[in-house]
Amino acid sequence: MYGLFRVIRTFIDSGILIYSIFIFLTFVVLAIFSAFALVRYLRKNSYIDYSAILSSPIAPSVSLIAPAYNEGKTIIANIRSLLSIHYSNFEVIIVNDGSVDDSLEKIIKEYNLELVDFAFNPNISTKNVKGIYKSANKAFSKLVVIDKENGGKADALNTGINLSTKKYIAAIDVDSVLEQDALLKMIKPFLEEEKSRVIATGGVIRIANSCKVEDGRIVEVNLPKQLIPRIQVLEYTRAFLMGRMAWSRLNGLLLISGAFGLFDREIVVKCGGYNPNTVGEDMELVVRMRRYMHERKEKYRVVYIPDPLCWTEVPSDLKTLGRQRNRWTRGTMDTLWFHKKMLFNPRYGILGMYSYPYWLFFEWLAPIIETIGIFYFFLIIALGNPNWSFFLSLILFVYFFAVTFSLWAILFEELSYRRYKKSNEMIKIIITAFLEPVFYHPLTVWFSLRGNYHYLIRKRGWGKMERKGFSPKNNGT
Amino acid sequence: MILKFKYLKLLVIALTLFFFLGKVSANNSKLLYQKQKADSISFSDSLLNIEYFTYMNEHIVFHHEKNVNYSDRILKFYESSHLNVKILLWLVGYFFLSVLVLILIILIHRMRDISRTKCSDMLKERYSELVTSLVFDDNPTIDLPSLNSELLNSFNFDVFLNVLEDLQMNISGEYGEKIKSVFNNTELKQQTLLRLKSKKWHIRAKGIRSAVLMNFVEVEELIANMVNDPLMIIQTESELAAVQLDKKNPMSFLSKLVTPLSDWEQLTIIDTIKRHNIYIYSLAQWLKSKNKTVVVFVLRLIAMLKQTDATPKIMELIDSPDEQIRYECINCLGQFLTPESTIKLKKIFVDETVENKMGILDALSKSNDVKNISFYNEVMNSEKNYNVLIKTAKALNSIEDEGQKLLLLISTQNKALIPIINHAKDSRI
Repeated sequence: MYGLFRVIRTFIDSGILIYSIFIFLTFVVLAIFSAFALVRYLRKNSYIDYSAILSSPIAPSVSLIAPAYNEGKTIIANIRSLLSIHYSNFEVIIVNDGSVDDSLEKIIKEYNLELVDFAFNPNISTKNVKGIYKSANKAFSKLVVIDKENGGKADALNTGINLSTKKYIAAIDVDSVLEQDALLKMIKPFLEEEKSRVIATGGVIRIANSCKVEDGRIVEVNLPKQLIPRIQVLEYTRAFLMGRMAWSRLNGLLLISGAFGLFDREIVVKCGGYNPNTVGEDMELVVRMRRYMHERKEKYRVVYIPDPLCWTEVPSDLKTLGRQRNRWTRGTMDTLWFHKKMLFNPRYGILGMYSYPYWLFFEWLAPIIETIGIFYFFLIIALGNPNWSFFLSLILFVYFFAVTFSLWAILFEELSYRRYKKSNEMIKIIITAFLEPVFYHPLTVWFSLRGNYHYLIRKRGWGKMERKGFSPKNNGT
Repeated sequence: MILKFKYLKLLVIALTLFFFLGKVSANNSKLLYQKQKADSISFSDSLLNIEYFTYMNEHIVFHHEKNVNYSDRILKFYESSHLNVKILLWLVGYFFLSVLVLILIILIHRMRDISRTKCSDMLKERYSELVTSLVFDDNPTIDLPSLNSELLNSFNFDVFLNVLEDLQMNISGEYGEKIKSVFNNTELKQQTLLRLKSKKWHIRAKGIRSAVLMNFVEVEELIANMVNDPLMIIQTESELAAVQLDKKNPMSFLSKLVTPLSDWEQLTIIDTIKRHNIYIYSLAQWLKSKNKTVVVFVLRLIAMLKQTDATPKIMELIDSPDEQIRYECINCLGQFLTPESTIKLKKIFVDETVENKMGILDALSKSNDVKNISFYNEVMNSEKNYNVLIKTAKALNSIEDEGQKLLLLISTQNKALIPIINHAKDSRI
């Protein structure tokens, strides 16, 4: 019996060690790839004059699709921001997804909208459209508003895709604030690539909490004053500048943030649009598009650009943060489950051999293993004396590794875009890097576990997102 | 979704630990416990004190020293640790140092950047005065050798070039010529030449830019040879330079181009042509290029510049097996419709792709010609694609009286087309 116990224990211990070594190495390798990719991108783009696209007769057409559900607080300013974006050949499609607040009435009044007989081909099946509105004012001719029955974000986006006739579609959260040149930067990878087809691009999402917003534009960038959003600044910087940059370089990117992504409409339609049966529709679509291209043996790329393009409000309280992370976990699980065929399947190249396993083992599984480990540790304490000197050394090692990693991300940001210009803000971010592993990380593990649990008991839904909005009273607070 | 790098932390703390425990703690826990008990040290006591493990004859002996100083204790603790702990302590030390170094780098970089900005502003001011004196003073008293030696520095060179670029944009005529003499009298050209020959691509790209700014025609050949560079940025920069430096035939680089000309390159070349008002001679010769992207680009330029002399060649090219070339031909013919091209467009319509059909309808609808009504009617009756039908209905609606009457008739005959016709009639859409 004791022998069996030892065998099991050695198996678990060795497995855990190998897992840990892999996860460490993966992060280091990704960081190295990111560093090279970032330097190259910055050098290359220091020569670029994006304004060339503005007046070009060959600039491709783009539909900006923004689903809105009960966004009455901010909808007017956000539509204004979308309409004033720097691009010539585009339209803005706002999809009112059965809001129960006064969003639609506000838009109709502000933009002088009228019902029109808009005929469109329902390529993707969606919930019923109640009406399509266009403005009587020519100044807002680029604006289309769809009023439809509530069906969720994916369904709303699909309705917008059905209505769009443009070559590319940009999916955007209506409560996000776009940089004026965001579309110019996002469209460039589609124009550059000759050897393969670019099917989607994504960019850096920045955190707008505490920033000053006027007329749907960020006029002053501030570091969030509250700790939770501030930690998320660090988290986003690390994820975007060190993770996605590397995956893009390897052409293995699986996720383009739902807050802002640009897609080849033809491929999206051929793939059947967004999946309304998952809360991780952004990731699922990218994986499905990639799979579609792989299965047809067509050369393609999903490109990520490190430019800060979009600002969004992140949860500032634990309850909302918990719901968001819970949803992210369930979304990841859905996508991994739907596309399980790709796991270690060489037919899917880097997607099946690296990207999918990475998400499965290091994104989804990590918090579970971490929790098992904690319980296992308590078991060891209960059974006998653990090796405390090793434990303490390990704690310190992992802590400093985590802080080092965060500081690398801060350095990347400092060397590239440096959005937080005040010196005291930089000091605050550095301090945050020291606090995060202790105060924030255990929470995210807990939220992720809850997500797993809710997935298993089939508790679905988005969960309510409390947003303060960018109304003047919240500016700079 | 965010990459969860953070999972790394407690994960490894809690889990890698057990690998070690499996080998050390399990074997020795009894011994440790007995030793602790013997020494009357409680578990929490042993944590609070600086204790250490020593392996002797495969047994752990627990030492409890209270009379040595702090640094000695750490040293002994370290020296007597198991190999894994030693490795970990090395790593802790390494990452701790990394943290300090990174913080220093971040702080230094920020300070350096601030001082660079200040330095750049000061240099800009000084160089502006210098260049103004060189250009506007009859007898400038500038120490050129000293300026030249300053310009050997890459940072100074870039600032100086920026100053000249700003000035050049605002000045022409006699003073414009004087600016060119500044290029000749300073080290700028020599530096540019060195940059053009650099092995580093970003330095070469800078060199190409400065050559264009200085109108350094002597290096035109050298730059033109870079149009097939494997790096796209060099390719783009050299194409833009070739367009601006080759005054006789700005598009001659197209003959040398064997690599694909991306949409981005095409777009920037068109922008440069427009911005600098560059005259483009007949492009028809490149319609037979073996490089498909060159043909597409030339067709786009022909449409934009309305080079009607190319029409016969386009009429031949419209039967190309390549869908994109046909699309651009359709677009070209739409820009300068003739009775022959109209007939041709109608003839090829049925066998075309949806996108090309839309292109043909765009082309034909520009004329609002009543003669096209029967063609549109045929399309309305036979076409299945929603967007093509809407476009056809719109074309009909734009032909007053007869077109609109036909739409009314179609709506009575085919109820399924009513939403499409209503859509087409609504000027707000």
